[in-house]
Amino acid sequence: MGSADEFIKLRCVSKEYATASALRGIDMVVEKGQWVSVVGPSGSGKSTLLNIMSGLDNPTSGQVVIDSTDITAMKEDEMARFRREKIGFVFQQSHLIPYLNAVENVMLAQYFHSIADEREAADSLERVGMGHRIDHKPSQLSGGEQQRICIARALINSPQILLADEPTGNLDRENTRKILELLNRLYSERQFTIILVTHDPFVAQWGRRTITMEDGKIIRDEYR
Amino acid sequence: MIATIVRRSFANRKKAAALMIASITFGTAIASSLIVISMEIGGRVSRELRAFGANILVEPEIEGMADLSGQRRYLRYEDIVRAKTIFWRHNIVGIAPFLETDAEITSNGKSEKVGLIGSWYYKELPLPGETGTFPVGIKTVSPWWSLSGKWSDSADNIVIGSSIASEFSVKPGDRIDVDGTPLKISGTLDSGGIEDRQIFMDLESLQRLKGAGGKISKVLVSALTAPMDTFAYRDPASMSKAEYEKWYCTGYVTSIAKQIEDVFKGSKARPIWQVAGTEGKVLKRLKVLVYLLCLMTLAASTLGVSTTMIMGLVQRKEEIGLMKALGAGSEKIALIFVTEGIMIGLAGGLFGYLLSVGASQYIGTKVFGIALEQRAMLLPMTMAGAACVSIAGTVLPIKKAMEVRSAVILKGEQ
Amino acid sequence: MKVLSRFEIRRFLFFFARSVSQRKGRVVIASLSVMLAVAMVTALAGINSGIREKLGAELKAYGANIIVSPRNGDSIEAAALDKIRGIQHVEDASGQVLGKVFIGGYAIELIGLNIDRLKYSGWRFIGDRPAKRNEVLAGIDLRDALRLAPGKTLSLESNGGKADFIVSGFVEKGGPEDSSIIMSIEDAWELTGTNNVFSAILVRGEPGKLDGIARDIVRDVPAVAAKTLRQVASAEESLLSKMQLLMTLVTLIALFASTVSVASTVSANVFERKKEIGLMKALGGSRSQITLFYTTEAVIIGLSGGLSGFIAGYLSAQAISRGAFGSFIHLPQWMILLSLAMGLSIALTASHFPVRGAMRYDAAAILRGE
Repeated sequence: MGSADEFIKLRCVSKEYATASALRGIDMVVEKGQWVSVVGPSGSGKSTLLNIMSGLDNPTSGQVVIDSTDITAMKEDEMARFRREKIGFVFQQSHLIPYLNAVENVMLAQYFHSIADEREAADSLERVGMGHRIDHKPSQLSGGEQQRICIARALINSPQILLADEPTGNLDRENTRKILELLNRLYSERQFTIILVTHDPFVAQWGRRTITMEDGKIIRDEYR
Repeated sequence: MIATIVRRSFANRKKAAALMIASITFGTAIASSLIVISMEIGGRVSRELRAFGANILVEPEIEGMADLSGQRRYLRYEDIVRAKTIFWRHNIVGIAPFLETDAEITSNGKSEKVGLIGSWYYKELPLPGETGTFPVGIKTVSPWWSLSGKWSDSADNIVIGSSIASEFSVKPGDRIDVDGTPLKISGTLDSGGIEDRQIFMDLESLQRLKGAGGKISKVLVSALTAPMDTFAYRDPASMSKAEYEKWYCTGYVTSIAKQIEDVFKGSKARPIWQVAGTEGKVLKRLKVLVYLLCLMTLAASTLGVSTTMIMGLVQRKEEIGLMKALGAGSEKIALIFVTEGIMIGLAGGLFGYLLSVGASQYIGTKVFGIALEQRAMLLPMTMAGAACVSIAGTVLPIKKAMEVRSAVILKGEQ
Repeated sequence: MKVLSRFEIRRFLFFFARSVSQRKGRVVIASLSVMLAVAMVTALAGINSGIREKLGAELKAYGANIIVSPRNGDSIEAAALDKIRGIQHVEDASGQVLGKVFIGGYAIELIGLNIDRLKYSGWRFIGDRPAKRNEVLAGIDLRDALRLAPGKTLSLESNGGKADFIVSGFVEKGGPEDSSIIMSIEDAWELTGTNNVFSAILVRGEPGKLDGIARDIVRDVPAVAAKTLRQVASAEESLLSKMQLLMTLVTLIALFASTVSVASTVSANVFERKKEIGLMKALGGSRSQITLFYTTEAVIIGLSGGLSGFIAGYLSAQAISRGAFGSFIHLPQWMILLSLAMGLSIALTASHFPVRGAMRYDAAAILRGE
């Protein structure tokens, strides 16, 4: 185990696309078990930051160290292993496999991690309040319901980090609140680290720490 | 889990899966039909080529100049059936013995000296040492000869060549004097060759008539042969024991002729090169042709199946990207899609094989009048082949998709 | 479809170009599969169109299929040969002089012919062919009877006189020629004391046209009879037409099967774009606008697949012909149109149905991902 104080550490991370820079020299440290909200206008580099932390994208320069491991140096398959051991994902679009039902979608993540266990997957759906919908296909579910399944899927392998990219971006206020309450409950139960990207102040306030980005840089970093 | 994923994926994407299977089915069908045809073409065409007539001539051995200019020597009648005892006996599809004599025919005050030939038109002789019969006679070596009326069955009636019939204005049922004896014309023979100026009688009857019991002058043999190659043209006398063995046991026209020569006492058996030489060349060319066509269709359908699989997977990039984001290693992702690929390949291969059976049967009956022999071996081969190709077509795009950053795919920028 | 204004065309082309460039992988794969089918069918059809000629050339070795013999007397004037060569569908003709020579008192058949043509007519040679005057070939039976060896001198007697000849080699044919002496026509004329006459003319006519040729010969050349050799003629015709039928059926089956196979690949391309079509509908795209979009793509796939398929098919046909017959094949010019038409029709039909199907769906349902 690495130091709890520097669980996630970004050093001088930059990301340049062909036409523009998305990140300009980010330095950032996240402690283990923190709930960090990343806010900022669209195009400020929030999502890029998230993708780089998860290894879905490579930084142009700089270093990302998670749990004492430098992930920027990893090969594709090492990265996949790292991801399934340590990281859970929730996207803005639900990104569920359309032909698998709710429980099977959760089982898929188990399968990639180790062994699919239908009972455990069903339990996890129960915990996110979807126990009555395990047989439904994504297209038969509402946006809020789909996001719950995504949360169940993200947490099924007990990751240490949950990365969420606008998880409530497609939801109304009522559903947003329900999802955040659910996340908060699970967070207090399990104490994983959350990094949640949003542009919505209501969503941001659920975190203890808020990082504000603009133009590829961190302009504010406040604790509540 | 894989089973669930694959099952669900098929159930949900029925149309897409059906399209892929259809594509592979038809692709495989062409390739395996051509394989069947290429395996069968040699045998079928060499049978067709027998229509060009006998390819081996058996005559009495020449021992001196006297034999060449007129003095008659004969082969033994009883050796005819022995031709069916040689190593390549099953390749012998026709045998016709001839006894050649002369006669003067007279009708309506007109006379002419013509060849009087003793032979059979078509009959079956018992196989030596086995049950069953084998066909012999002119019809078996020269299928283009046409007989109107009946073949001669005794010394009282004869068959006359078509040129003589028109020259003497006689027809079946009429009588004609042969060496002074009036004989009934039982039929006329049209060969399109010199035989149109000859007259024919049943072989045994002519032997009795001429006091030539047990004698024949020549035998024509029609045999299925392997194409001649450089080795086959070598002089058997110069071969080593092993080479001779190989030559003897290959169905070259020369080796079959040699084996026939050995069973006819005092004979010389020779390939009729006009027929035998061309036959080998035509056969070889056709074999190469069909073989190349087979390779071409094999290559085209292999590529075709791959494109089908690639097309199917390119559309599932998003799925692959998501799986990657969930932390799936490339083997696990590949396993899912390869399983799908194998199943699609196996199904396509099976249907393709069945379709090719139909297609090649149809072609066989249509072209050669006989269904082509199907080989059950081809079924597992086709299925395995289709599966392998679809695996290849699966692995490539997966590799490609694995290289693309999931972040890009999941954002929808394909 | 209503006529589009220039502006609309430009806008259409803009979106179309964007779509294709975004999805070039798929468009390339679709046209690649069209190419494969077109190439296969083009090659088969090309071979099919040339197989008669190519195989016919092989069958030439069966030799003459018409024999012209004198009707009265026992010779034909040499001038008849040129007349026969000029008759339509006659591929080749050569004269023969037949006679008798005596070797040590024994009568032997003499055949005088054009030595150069021997190689086409199914003889097997042992030793060399005659290279100059006074060199002869001996039949293999004659060799055995006289125990001849190449280079040996033979003294031949005939009614024209007596002369010495050198045996250059031997022939085996499997017929009466095996006990004959074979020499050039000029030598035969000299030896038999004749000049510029033939005993027979051997004609090689196009298979299937023989009866007409024989009629023309009898009409144009005085005092001869022409007989078709049915052995060669009918077997040739039957073999050629069977092989042609075989190729035609294989081509048709390949045409059918590869069309279905490719159509399913190409339609999968459109089929999986239901979502896009739904979106276009939701944005207010009219039926004809959407159809035009996919039709244009199909036309591009069809034309590029058809053209590259023709090229690949042409090259494979040549490679196959080279391999099987040792010579190139002539592909009819219209084949390229056929290839393009095939590519176009596969691509158009294949995208027509899925687009029409997608149009019928409820746009909302498609976008929801049902």
